[in-house]
Amino acid sequence: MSPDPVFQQVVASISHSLQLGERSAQLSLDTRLLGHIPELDSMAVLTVITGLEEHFAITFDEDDITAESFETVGNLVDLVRCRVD
Amino acid sequence: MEFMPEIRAAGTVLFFPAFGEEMNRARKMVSRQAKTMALSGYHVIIPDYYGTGDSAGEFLGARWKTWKADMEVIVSECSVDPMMPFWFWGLRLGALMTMDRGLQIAMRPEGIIAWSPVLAGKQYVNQLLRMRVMANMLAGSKIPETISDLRALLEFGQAVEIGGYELGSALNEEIENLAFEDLLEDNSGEIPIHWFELISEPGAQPSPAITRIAEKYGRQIEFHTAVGPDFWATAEITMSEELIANTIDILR
Repeated sequence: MSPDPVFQQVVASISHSLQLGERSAQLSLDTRLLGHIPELDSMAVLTVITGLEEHFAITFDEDDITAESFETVGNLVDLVRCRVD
Repeated sequence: MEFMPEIRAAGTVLFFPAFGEEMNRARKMVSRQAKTMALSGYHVIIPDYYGTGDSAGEFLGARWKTWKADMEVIVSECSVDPMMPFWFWGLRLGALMTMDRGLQIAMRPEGIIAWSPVLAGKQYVNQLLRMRVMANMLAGSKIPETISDLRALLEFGQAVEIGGYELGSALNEEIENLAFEDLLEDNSGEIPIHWFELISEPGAQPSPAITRIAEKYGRQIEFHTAVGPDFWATAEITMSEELIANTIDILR
Protein backbone atom coordinates (compact mmCIF):
# COMPACT_ATOMS: atom_id res chain seq x y z
CA MET A 1 0.00 0.00 0.00
CA SER A 2 1.60 3.25 -1.04
CA PRO A 3 1.96 5.91 1.67
CA ASP A 4 -0.77 8.54 1.81
CA PRO A 5 0.57 11.84 0.39
CA VAL A 6 -1.72 13.97 2.57
CA PHE A 7 -0.44 12.20 5.67
CA GLN A 8 3.15 12.68 4.54
CA GLN A 9 2.67 16.35 3.84
CA VAL A 10 0.88 16.93 7.13
CA VAL A 11 3.75 15.24 8.95
CA ALA A 12 6.28 17.36 7.03
CA SER A 13 4.38 20.54 7.87
CA ILE A 14 3.94 19.68 11.56
CA SER A 15 7.57 18.65 11.75
CA HIS A 16 8.76 21.96 10.37
CA SER A 17 6.43 24.01 12.53
CA LEU A 18 7.46 22.18 15.70
CA GLN A 19 11.08 21.63 14.72
CA LEU A 20 10.76 17.91 15.40
CA GLY A 21 13.72 16.91 13.26
CA GLU A 22 14.29 13.17 13.35
CA ARG A 23 11.29 12.63 15.63
CA SER A 24 9.03 13.20 12.64
CA ALA A 25 9.82 9.67 11.47
CA GLN A 26 8.01 8.39 14.57
CA LEU A 27 4.72 10.09 13.72
CA SER A 28 1.87 7.82 12.72
CA LEU A 29 -1.87 8.39 12.36
CA ASP A 30 -2.33 7.28 15.95
CA THR A 31 0.29 9.56 17.42
CA ARG A 32 -1.26 11.72 20.11
CA LEU A 33 -0.55 15.41 19.80
CA LEU A 34 -2.21 17.77 22.25
CA GLY A 35 -0.89 17.20 25.71
CA HIS A 36 1.64 14.68 24.47
CA ILE A 37 4.10 16.86 22.65
CA PRO A 38 5.77 19.37 24.96
CA GLU A 39 6.41 21.83 22.15
CA LEU A 40 2.71 22.08 21.44
CA ASP A 41 1.65 25.18 23.35
CA SER A 42 -0.91 27.71 22.08
CA MET A 43 1.62 29.56 19.97
CA ALA A 44 2.84 26.28 18.51
CA VAL A 45 -0.68 25.12 17.66
CA LEU A 46 -1.08 28.39 15.83
CA THR A 47 2.17 27.81 13.97
CA VAL A 48 1.00 24.33 12.99
CA ILE A 49 -2.36 25.67 11.78
CA THR A 50 -0.77 28.50 9.82
CA GLY A 51 1.79 26.10 8.37
CA LEU A 52 -0.93 23.72 7.19
CA GLU A 53 -2.99 26.58 5.75
CA GLU A 54 -0.04 27.87 3.78
CA HIS A 55 1.15 24.48 2.64
CA PHE A 56 -2.23 23.24 1.41
CA ALA A 57 -3.57 26.70 0.46
CA ILE A 58 -6.63 26.17 2.62
CA THR A 59 -8.30 28.18 5.36
CA PHE A 60 -9.56 26.62 8.53
CA ASP A 61 -12.85 27.74 9.98
CA GLU A 62 -13.12 28.84 13.56
CA ASP A 63 -15.03 25.64 14.28
CA ASP A 64 -12.22 23.51 12.91
CA ILE A 65 -9.85 24.47 15.66
CA THR A 66 -10.85 22.20 18.50
CA ALA A 67 -9.03 20.06 21.02
CA GLU A 68 -10.39 17.08 19.11
CA SER A 69 -8.75 18.05 15.83
CA PHE A 70 -5.44 18.11 17.59
CA GLU A 71 -5.90 14.92 19.55
CA THR A 72 -4.05 12.76 17.06
CA VAL A 73 -2.15 13.16 13.81
CA GLY A 74 -4.92 11.18 12.15
CA ASN A 75 -7.56 13.68 13.25
CA LEU A 76 -5.50 16.50 11.83
CA VAL A 77 -5.03 14.66 8.56
CA ASP A 78 -8.81 14.13 8.33
CA LEU A 79 -9.40 17.82 8.95
CA VAL A 80 -6.93 18.82 6.25
CA ARG A 81 -8.41 16.32 3.82
CA CYS A 82 -11.84 17.81 4.50
CA ARG A 83 -10.65 21.31 3.65
CA VAL A 84 -8.67 20.28 0.62
CA ASP A 85 -11.64 18.55 -1.00
CA MET B 1 18.84 48.49 25.89
CA GLU B 2 21.84 49.65 23.91
CA PHE B 3 24.86 47.86 22.58
CA MET B 4 27.86 50.15 22.35
CA PRO B 5 30.72 49.20 20.09
CA GLU B 6 34.19 49.11 21.57
CA ILE B 7 35.84 50.32 18.43
CA ARG B 8 35.02 53.54 16.69
CA ALA B 9 31.38 53.56 15.64
CA ALA B 10 30.57 52.50 12.11
CA GLY B 11 27.03 53.73 12.50
CA THR B 12 23.80 53.22 14.39
CA VAL B 13 21.14 50.54 14.14
CA LEU B 14 17.68 51.14 15.56
CA PHE B 15 15.67 48.00 16.24
CA PHE B 16 11.87 47.94 15.92
CA PRO B 17 10.50 45.10 18.09
CA ALA B 18 7.91 42.48 17.31
CA PHE B 19 4.68 42.64 19.32
CA GLY B 20 3.93 40.72 22.47
CA GLU B 21 4.92 37.10 22.89
CA GLU B 22 6.76 37.05 19.57
CA MET B 23 9.28 39.50 20.98
CA ASN B 24 9.75 37.44 24.13
CA ARG B 25 10.65 34.40 22.11
CA ALA B 26 12.88 36.35 19.73
CA ARG B 27 14.78 38.21 22.41
CA LYS B 28 17.83 35.96 22.53
CA MET B 29 18.20 35.92 18.76
CA VAL B 30 17.89 39.68 18.61
CA SER B 31 20.50 40.14 21.36
CA ARG B 32 22.85 37.81 19.55
CA GLN B 33 22.50 39.74 16.33
CA ALA B 34 22.93 43.04 18.15
CA LYS B 35 26.18 41.80 19.66
CA THR B 36 27.60 40.88 16.28
CA MET B 37 26.59 44.30 15.01
CA ALA B 38 28.32 45.96 17.96
CA LEU B 39 31.43 43.90 17.26
CA SER B 40 31.39 45.37 13.78
CA GLY B 41 31.34 48.83 15.25
CA TYR B 42 27.62 49.60 15.33
CA HIS B 43 25.78 51.34 18.12
CA VAL B 44 22.62 49.25 18.41
CA ILE B 45 19.51 50.58 20.10
CA ILE B 46 16.96 47.97 21.18
CA PRO B 47 13.77 49.23 22.77
CA ASP B 48 12.63 46.41 25.05
CA TYR B 49 8.98 46.81 24.31
CA TYR B 50 6.48 49.19 22.93
CA GLY B 51 5.15 51.73 25.35
CA THR B 52 1.83 51.20 27.02
CA GLY B 53 0.52 54.59 26.07
CA ASP B 54 0.53 56.05 29.53
CA SER B 55 0.72 59.81 29.47
CA ALA B 56 0.52 62.03 32.50
CA GLY B 57 -1.61 59.48 34.32
CA GLU B 58 -4.12 59.18 31.55
CA PHE B 59 -4.11 55.72 30.05
CA LEU B 60 -4.41 56.15 26.33
CA GLY B 61 -4.04 52.54 25.50
CA ALA B 62 -1.26 51.26 23.30
CA ARG B 63 -1.59 52.70 19.82
CA TRP B 64 0.47 52.28 16.71
CA LYS B 65 0.92 56.03 16.66
CA THR B 66 2.15 56.20 20.25
CA TRP B 67 4.58 53.41 19.48
CA LYS B 68 5.94 55.47 16.61
CA ALA B 69 6.25 58.46 18.89
CA ASP B 70 8.13 56.29 21.40
CA MET B 71 10.65 55.34 18.74
CA GLU B 72 11.13 58.97 17.84
CA VAL B 73 11.75 59.87 21.49
CA ILE B 74 14.21 57.00 21.88
CA VAL B 75 16.27 58.23 18.95
CA SER B 76 16.36 61.75 20.29
CA GLU B 77 17.40 60.55 23.75
CA CYS B 78 20.21 58.27 22.64
CA SER B 79 23.35 59.96 21.53
CA VAL B 80 23.14 59.11 17.87
CA ASP B 81 25.90 60.44 15.66
CA PRO B 82 24.03 62.12 12.78
CA MET B 83 27.10 61.98 10.57
CA MET B 84 27.28 58.21 10.62
CA PRO B 85 25.15 55.70 8.70
CA PHE B 86 21.84 54.95 10.36
CA TRP B 87 19.92 51.72 9.84
CA PHE B 88 16.43 50.54 10.68
CA TRP B 89 16.07 46.88 11.66
CA GLY B 90 12.58 45.55 12.27
CA LEU B 91 11.17 42.18 13.27
CA ARG B 92 7.63 41.11 12.30
CA LEU B 93 5.24 43.97 13.09
CA GLY B 94 8.28 46.13 13.81
CA ALA B 95 9.44 45.60 10.25
CA LEU B 96 6.24 47.29 9.08
CA MET B 97 6.89 50.26 11.31
CA THR B 98 10.30 50.80 9.75
CA MET B 99 8.50 51.56 6.50
CA ASP B 100 5.79 53.73 7.95
CA ARG B 101 6.04 57.11 6.27
CA GLY B 102 4.57 58.75 9.33
CA LEU B 103 7.67 57.89 11.33
CA GLN B 104 9.43 61.13 12.12
CA ILE B 105 13.00 60.33 12.84
CA ALA B 106 15.46 63.04 11.97
CA MET B 107 18.04 60.75 10.48
CA ARG B 108 17.22 59.17 7.20
CA PRO B 109 18.14 55.51 7.23
CA GLU B 110 20.85 54.15 5.01
CA GLY B 111 18.73 51.07 4.64
CA ILE B 112 16.04 48.95 6.21
CA ILE B 113 16.49 45.38 7.41
CA ALA B 114 13.13 43.66 7.60
CA TRP B 115 13.02 40.31 9.34
CA SER B 116 9.91 38.36 8.33
CA PRO B 117 7.54 41.30 8.10
CA VAL B 118 3.92 40.63 8.94
CA LEU B 119 2.33 40.44 5.49
CA ALA B 120 -1.24 41.31 6.36
CA GLY B 121 -2.39 42.97 9.56
CA LYS B 122 -5.86 41.43 9.28
CA GLN B 123 -4.51 37.93 9.12
CA TYR B 124 -2.06 38.68 11.90
CA VAL B 125 -4.81 39.88 14.24
CA ASN B 126 -6.78 36.77 13.37
CA GLN B 127 -3.82 34.69 14.43
CA LEU B 128 -3.56 36.61 17.69
CA LEU B 129 -7.21 35.97 18.39
CA ARG B 130 -6.81 32.30 17.52
CA MET B 131 -3.94 32.14 19.94
CA ARG B 132 -6.18 33.41 22.70
CA VAL B 133 -8.90 30.90 21.80
CA MET B 134 -6.27 28.17 21.75
CA ALA B 135 -4.77 29.15 25.09
CA ASN B 136 -8.24 29.18 26.56
CA MET B 137 -8.92 25.74 25.21
CA LEU B 138 -5.58 24.30 26.33
CA ALA B 139 -6.18 25.65 29.80
CA GLY B 140 -9.27 23.48 29.84
CA SER B 141 -11.52 26.46 30.29
CA LYS B 142 -15.17 25.59 30.72
CA ILE B 143 -16.13 28.91 29.17
CA PRO B 144 -16.00 28.51 25.43
CA GLU B 145 -14.72 31.52 23.57
CA THR B 146 -14.82 32.02 19.84
CA ILE B 147 -13.09 34.45 17.56
CA SER B 148 -16.48 36.06 16.89
CA ASP B 149 -16.88 36.66 20.62
CA LEU B 150 -13.51 38.37 20.76
CA ARG B 151 -14.17 40.49 17.69
CA ALA B 152 -17.43 41.61 19.23
CA LEU B 153 -15.54 42.74 22.32
CA LEU B 154 -13.14 44.74 20.20
CA GLU B 155 -15.99 46.27 18.30
CA PHE B 156 -17.51 47.43 21.57
CA GLY B 157 -14.26 49.21 22.34
CA GLN B 158 -13.02 46.62 24.78
CA ALA B 159 -9.48 45.35 24.87
CA VAL B 160 -8.64 41.66 24.51
CA GLU B 161 -5.80 40.14 26.48
CA ILE B 162 -3.59 37.77 24.55
CA GLY B 163 -0.82 35.93 26.34
CA GLY B 164 -0.27 38.76 28.79
CA TYR B 165 -0.40 41.49 26.18
CA GLU B 166 -3.30 43.76 25.53
CA LEU B 167 -4.85 44.27 22.14
CA GLY B 168 -6.97 47.37 22.39
CA SER B 169 -9.78 48.24 20.06
CA ALA B 170 -7.99 51.15 18.40
CA LEU B 171 -4.70 49.27 18.10
CA ASN B 172 -6.58 46.35 16.57
CA GLU B 173 -7.98 48.62 13.90
CA GLU B 174 -4.62 50.20 13.20
CA ILE B 175 -2.93 46.83 12.78
CA GLU B 176 -5.72 45.44 10.63
CA ASN B 177 -5.15 48.27 8.19
CA LEU B 178 -1.50 47.42 7.75
CA ALA B 179 -0.22 45.41 4.82
CA PHE B 180 3.41 44.94 3.83
CA GLU B 181 2.48 45.16 0.18
CA ASP B 182 0.85 48.57 0.67
CA LEU B 183 3.98 49.82 2.39
CA LEU B 184 6.10 48.54 -0.47
CA GLU B 185 3.77 50.21 -2.94
CA ASP B 186 4.18 53.53 -1.13
CA ASN B 187 7.90 53.14 -0.83
CA SER B 188 9.71 55.45 -3.21
CA GLY B 189 12.72 53.20 -3.50
CA GLU B 190 15.08 55.78 -2.08
CA ILE B 191 15.78 53.69 0.97
CA PRO B 192 17.05 50.18 0.18
CA ILE B 193 14.96 47.48 1.79
CA HIS B 194 16.50 44.14 2.73
CA TRP B 195 13.77 41.62 3.32
CA PHE B 196 14.74 38.41 5.13
CA GLU B 197 12.69 35.23 5.45
CA LEU B 198 13.51 31.94 7.14
CA ILE B 199 13.34 28.71 5.18
CA SER B 200 13.39 25.15 6.49
CA GLU B 201 16.35 23.90 4.47
CA PRO B 202 18.71 25.16 1.75
CA GLY B 203 16.86 25.65 -1.50
CA ALA B 204 13.41 25.50 0.10
CA GLN B 205 10.80 27.83 -1.33
CA PRO B 206 9.23 30.43 0.94
CA SER B 207 5.42 30.40 1.02
CA PRO B 208 3.54 31.35 -2.16
CA ALA B 209 2.37 34.58 -0.53
CA ILE B 210 5.93 35.66 0.20
CA THR B 211 7.22 34.59 -3.19
CA ARG B 212 4.51 36.55 -4.97
CA ILE B 213 5.30 39.80 -3.18
CA ALA B 214 9.06 39.33 -3.43
CA GLU B 215 8.76 38.87 -7.17
CA LYS B 216 6.34 41.74 -7.64
CA TYR B 217 8.62 44.22 -5.90
CA GLY B 218 11.83 42.58 -7.02
CA ARG B 219 13.28 45.80 -8.34
CA GLN B 220 12.72 47.79 -5.16
CA ILE B 221 13.86 45.33 -2.59
CA GLU B 222 16.59 42.83 -1.95
CA PHE B 223 15.08 39.55 -0.88
CA HIS B 224 17.19 37.16 1.20
CA THR B 225 16.51 33.80 2.74
CA ALA B 226 18.25 32.08 5.62
CA VAL B 227 17.86 28.56 6.93
CA GLY B 228 16.35 28.41 10.37
CA PRO B 229 13.19 28.22 12.45
CA ASP B 230 10.68 31.00 12.99
CA PHE B 231 12.42 31.89 16.22
CA TRP B 232 9.73 34.35 17.33
CA ALA B 233 7.24 31.49 17.38
CA THR B 234 9.03 28.40 18.65
CA ALA B 235 8.33 27.21 22.18
CA GLU B 236 11.99 26.59 22.82
CA ILE B 237 14.49 29.35 22.23
CA THR B 238 15.87 28.86 18.76
CA MET B 239 18.34 30.70 16.58
CA SER B 240 19.37 30.98 13.00
CA GLU B 241 23.11 31.37 12.55
CA GLU B 242 22.67 31.94 8.86
CA LEU B 243 20.31 34.83 9.43
CA ILE B 244 22.81 36.45 11.76
CA ALA B 245 25.60 36.05 9.22
CA ASN B 246 23.51 37.22 6.27
CA THR B 247 22.25 40.24 8.18
CA ILE B 248 25.66 41.41 9.31
CA ASP B 249 26.86 41.06 5.71
CA ILE B 250 24.39 43.76 4.71
CA LEU B 251 25.95 46.21 7.13
CA ARG B 252 29.54 45.54 6.18
